[in-house]
Amino acid sequence: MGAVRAAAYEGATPRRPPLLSRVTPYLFVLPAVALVAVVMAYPFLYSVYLSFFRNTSDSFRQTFTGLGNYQVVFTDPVFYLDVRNTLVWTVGSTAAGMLLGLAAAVAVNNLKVLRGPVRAALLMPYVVGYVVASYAWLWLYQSDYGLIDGELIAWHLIKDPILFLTSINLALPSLILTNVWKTFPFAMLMLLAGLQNVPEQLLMAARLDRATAWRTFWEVTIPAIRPVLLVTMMLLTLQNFNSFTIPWVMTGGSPLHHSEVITNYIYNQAFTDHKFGLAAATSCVTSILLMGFAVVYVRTLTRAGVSR
Amino acid sequence: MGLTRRSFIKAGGAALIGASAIPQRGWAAAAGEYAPNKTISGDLGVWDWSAAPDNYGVAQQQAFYNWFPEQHPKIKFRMTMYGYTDYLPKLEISFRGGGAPDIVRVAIAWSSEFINAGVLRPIDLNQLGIPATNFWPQALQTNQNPSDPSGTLYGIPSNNEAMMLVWNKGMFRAAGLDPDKPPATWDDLASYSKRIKDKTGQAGFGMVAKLNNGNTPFRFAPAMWAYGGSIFDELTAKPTWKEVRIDSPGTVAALQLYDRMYNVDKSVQSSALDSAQPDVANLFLAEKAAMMICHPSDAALAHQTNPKIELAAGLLPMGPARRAVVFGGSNFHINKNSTNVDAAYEFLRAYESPNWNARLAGLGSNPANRAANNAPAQIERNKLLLFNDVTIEMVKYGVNVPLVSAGAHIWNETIPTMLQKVLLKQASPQEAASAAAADVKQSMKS
Amino acid sequence: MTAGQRLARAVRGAPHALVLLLLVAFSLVPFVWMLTASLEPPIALFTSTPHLLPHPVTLSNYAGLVHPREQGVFFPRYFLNSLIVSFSTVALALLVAVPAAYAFSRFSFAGRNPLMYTILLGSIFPGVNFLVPLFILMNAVHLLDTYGSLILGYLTFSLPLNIWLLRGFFDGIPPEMEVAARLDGASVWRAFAEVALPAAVPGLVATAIYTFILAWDEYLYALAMISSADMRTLPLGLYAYFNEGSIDWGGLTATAIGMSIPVVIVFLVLQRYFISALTKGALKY
Repeated sequence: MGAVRAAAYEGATPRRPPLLSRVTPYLFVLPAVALVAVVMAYPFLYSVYLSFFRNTSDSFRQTFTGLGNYQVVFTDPVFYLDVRNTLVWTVGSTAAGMLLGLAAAVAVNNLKVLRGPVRAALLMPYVVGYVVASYAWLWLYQSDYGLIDGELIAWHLIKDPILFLTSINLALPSLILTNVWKTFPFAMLMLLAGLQNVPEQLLMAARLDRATAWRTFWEVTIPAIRPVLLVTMMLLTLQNFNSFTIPWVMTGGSPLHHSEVITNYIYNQAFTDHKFGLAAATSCVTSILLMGFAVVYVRTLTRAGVSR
Repeated sequence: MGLTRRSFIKAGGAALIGASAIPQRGWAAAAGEYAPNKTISGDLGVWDWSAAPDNYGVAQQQAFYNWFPEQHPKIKFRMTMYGYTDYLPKLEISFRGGGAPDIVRVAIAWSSEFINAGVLRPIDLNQLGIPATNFWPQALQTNQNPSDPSGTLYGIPSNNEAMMLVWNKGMFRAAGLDPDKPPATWDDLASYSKRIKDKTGQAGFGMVAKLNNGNTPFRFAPAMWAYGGSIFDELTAKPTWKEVRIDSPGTVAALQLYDRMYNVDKSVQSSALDSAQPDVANLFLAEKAAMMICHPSDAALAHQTNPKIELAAGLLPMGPARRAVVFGGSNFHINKNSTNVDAAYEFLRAYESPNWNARLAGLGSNPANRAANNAPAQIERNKLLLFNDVTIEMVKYGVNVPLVSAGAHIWNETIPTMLQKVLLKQASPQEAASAAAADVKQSMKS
Repeated sequence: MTAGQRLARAVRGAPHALVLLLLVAFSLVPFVWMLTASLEPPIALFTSTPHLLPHPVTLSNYAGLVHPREQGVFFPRYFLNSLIVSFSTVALALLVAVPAAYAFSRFSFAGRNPLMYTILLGSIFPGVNFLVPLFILMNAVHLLDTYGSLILGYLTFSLPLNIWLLRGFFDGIPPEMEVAARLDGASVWRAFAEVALPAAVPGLVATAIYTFILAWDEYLYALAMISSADMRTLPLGLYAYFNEGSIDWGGLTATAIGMSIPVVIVFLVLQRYFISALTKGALKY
């Protein structure tokens, strides 16, 4: 699509462009490229460089250690646990977020009245940010003075408090729920717009064919919003993989790293253990894992982009 | 009233602030009082970190850092105040890359890193004018290089503190326990906890067992030491920090005690695995926990926030081997590359002088220079600080945190991990302790 | 419509209404709790059983917010810091991203696609990957603990994101107007500034809001780069309520609400822009 657009634009200039306008595109992108080079490319490369060094025994200087840091990373059971947690977190949050977002989008789309206020109410979790969300849900989940356990016990539904944040099986799911609460509004927003852009003719044709609402939904609506679904899913996955705040604030990794994601792990290596080289190595490994996903991501985005 | 130090300040601190608004002149000269040497000149740079949110401490810092350059008009004095969280990386980077000042004040646990890196200047106590016996022996230890048998000091302590056991007399009474007698041993603590839980339905002991959190080892290590366990040889008179002893029977016994309280008796709060001290303090204030281990300033805060609670404080329980507590505080160090050593010593002399040392200890600590114990400022503080006498008594039993560069990792991660493994029944106490020993050995290598 | 028809329609709509009701409750309950907690004296939160209606009610937590310099917690200062950092982040990102996005949309030049993909690729990596080197870099240029460290640091997410979003918006604007201007003799720059930019304003606004919300709430970089109390942004300010001694939930929730209200208001006022522009721009395929 970009190529088509560019051609349409450039076809307009009648003569062969002078030197300045051959250089012009580069001038347009120069500031951005320069900044990206400074704040992203350089740190990334420096990070790779750092990963081959480790602290000396007085943790003051760095000495070359070759692949030593990588060895440490790959032999650390906590690393594998955290990768597993990150995958569960990402997939779980994205799936639940998409489902909830879709349900919300469909429901709001069908609203005849009060659409604005309802939509606004549903967007609140998105607007207030991760930090506020973390503290709010931390309170809700607290097993000694939190609201959820308090109400469940007051209504005699349970006798002992449910350990949302301190039991190995419940900690990560509890955090995922918080994340879903925080991110489903974004999915709703995107999907709502997608729903509203479904061509009326398609829906009318389905109605004329006397298709049920359910069949219409599955066989007409969903395929029609497929690009939006894909893009939203990609964005959500990305955002979730990069998450730091919710696990950090709510549990700090307790219990026993079962609620820890890889970003927390790296932060600890760098700023608690002061092992910058090791943190860099873990970052690089994580980046490589992401590369595979990145290829799919970029290709999907541009495929969705060049469909015109 | 909020759950912050401000409410405490309003009551007691105001008096102290008012009194200290008049610098040194307001106090009667105590023995060994400090007389400024006004001839000293040159540049002097000092890095410190703010006592916030202790408003009294902040006021004392401001008073001192205004007073010192006033008294030494020939010194070009530059003082930078940092926040606690990123102070350590700043120190590391500046000592490594240049830009470190003449004097820095650091937390006790950080000193060993800089001592081992050889960037500090040895301190001559004669030049300072304070005898070694004025300082706590554990405090001096934190300023030595363990592999240097000469015992050269690379810093001096600025303030020291230790924790104590605080309990709710009303809840003791409700459980049929003598409200004036704390549990004498750690075993008793567990029994008291169970009894309180059975009789009142509330947690007896407020347990701190959060991962990646310094509060946890501060409260677990005393139990470990009391049973005779230790990480290295920190229980000996001159530790060398070489032999790993964390998988000893004493550690196992302490882990079993915690396991009993959390899993068997279920006498602690259910969220212990996610609890740091502030969480326990909140429960204590709500009378949902009867006992907690904390600083005297926390106790005072509790009293201010919920005066209904009948507070009491006492020494930490004994174990079969000893009574122990974590030795806390801060040290001053002089940069090896300092160009104005005379001014540096002058500064330290001023800070360590009895009245100032007492005042600068703020509300959470006590003077490192024990000559300050009889200074007017300290006597005033004792009147206003609840249970300060208890905590001064506890300092005697202080044992040092691991004074090695892997210390932060061992303290903040190895120990809580070991504890959580046992509490979550992921490992037996012996297995957890052995795994911890392996982890300590590993982190000592890299 | 007969009553029967109306009833039938209502019944058909019931599942949707139920879903909505549940969702709205799900979305709002945590806020109700926060509001309740902020209106009570902190001790009341623990001494009574958990509840949703504030009792007793007090405004002391909010009063505490507007007393700067008291208790070592300076809400107005944190607010100001967040404002400065967020606005600057948006301004810088837009300034740099708009021309770049325009170029990616309109021009074809050697290296266009690889450059675009590389920048997009950058948006994939977790911020923590860049954090350590950036921290070291900021320290080397003495920018630690300043607004600059955050504004520059936030470029790691704001720049790729803005370029991608804005390119989508520009793609959604037909080039005919600019073509006409060029044929009239306007230079590339003039066509860009006087024709394309005005048409892209909804997209610019949407991108600005999106970036602002991200920067306002950013925690990780602020945690690493900022150490002095008076340089803290609001997310760090929340963290400041966790003292050694206790957690001031009353103050914390009051701050959280104080921190959220401006964003909520801005969003509610501008949401039409945001929603239409974001979704149209992102979906224009």
